[in-house]
Amino acid sequence: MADDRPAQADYDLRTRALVSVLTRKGLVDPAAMDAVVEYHENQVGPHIGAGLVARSWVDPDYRRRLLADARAVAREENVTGFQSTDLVAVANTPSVHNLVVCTLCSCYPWSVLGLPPTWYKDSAYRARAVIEPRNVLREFGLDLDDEVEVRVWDSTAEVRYLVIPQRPPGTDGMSVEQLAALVTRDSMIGAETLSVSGQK
Amino acid sequence: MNGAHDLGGTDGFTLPQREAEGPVLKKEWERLLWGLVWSLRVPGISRGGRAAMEQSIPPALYLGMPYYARWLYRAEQSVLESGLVTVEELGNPDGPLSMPDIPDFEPPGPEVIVDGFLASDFCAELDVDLPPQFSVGDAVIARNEHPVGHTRAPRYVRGRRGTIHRDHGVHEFQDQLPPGVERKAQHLYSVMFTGRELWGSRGGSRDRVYVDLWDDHLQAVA
Repeated sequence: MADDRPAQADYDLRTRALVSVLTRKGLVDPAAMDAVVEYHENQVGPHIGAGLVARSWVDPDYRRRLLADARAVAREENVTGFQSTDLVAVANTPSVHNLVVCTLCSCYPWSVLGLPPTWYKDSAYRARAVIEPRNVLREFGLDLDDEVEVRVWDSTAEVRYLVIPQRPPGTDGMSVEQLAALVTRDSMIGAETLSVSGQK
Repeated sequence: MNGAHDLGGTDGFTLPQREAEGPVLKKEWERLLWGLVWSLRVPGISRGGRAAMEQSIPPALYLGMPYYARWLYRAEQSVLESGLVTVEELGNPDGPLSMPDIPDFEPPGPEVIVDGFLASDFCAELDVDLPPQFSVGDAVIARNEHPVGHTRAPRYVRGRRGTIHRDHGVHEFQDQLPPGVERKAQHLYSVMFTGRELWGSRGGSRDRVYVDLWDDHLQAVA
């Protein structure tokens, strides 16, 4: 059987061939394909997680519930989604820093952060985050004090982890919306901390 | 399986720069492929063991592949294995096709895929009343097993001693099982391992790694 498929590394040709054949066979609806991309590019994204984080900064009871059962809180706010509903939130404090990784693939809390950035899916991050998290963070620009405990969460099951970064100083009196605008995607993975001057 | 995907603790990789927030499907083929893999809902297509399929990519190929190329590889594999598409058709996508005969099949539209699937209130925790084998605070050892099939117990924890940190409730066991063995629901835990336990003197004395493991991955410390 001749294998006339494009070369392994010709991802563009291979993808177009696969889509063309499946569409011509009536096995997939192109409108559904467009809708999936629209959903993952525009509907879900870090703004959802940022809203949860900002509210946890101003509402102690909400923060308590988010840390105890993030899934229940997410459901109350209609934040649902395939593969991400079993959500666990972990909070950074002056003495604890959390970092999320998936060493086996690239599991990520899509429903609250959207699709993962390239660095999160990179072999280097997956390989090194568990053995030398402080070096990884230093290379990412975050030099943690030796006294700070580092907790690395390896998402090996269907549970997804969201880091609640510390509220940056100098943000007293800000509204939840203003605070949410300070919360970056990478801070909710644990790859950076927040400051007012470093606004996104 | 002890594949190239099980990367935890591997040295020699160079960390990339963190990129700015923005669209993460950067190339047109990535967008096309992403739409395809979530829209293709044909009965009988091999979708069980998708993770296993990715992990069976030959190691040298796996490490050289960009992330979405692995999705492409398994999308191709699943349609070829289920007989929906032939190698010849993929090699000549504008040529003649054998039309599949799937009674009453209409490809699902945007609402079914997005509202009914991607955005649905999917929950992996099962509503099953099953006693846990371990309690929070228990000392456990991750079993030193090296199954040939897919497993969620990464190599770096096997044989290592940890502590039950949190009980995630009852979840379906995701490891590949031998033929005929029934998949059984069981408790899933977040298990804490110290950096020193996992990595010896290279592990940070204030580093902790939390790994999600099922009852069957664990044994009590005698």
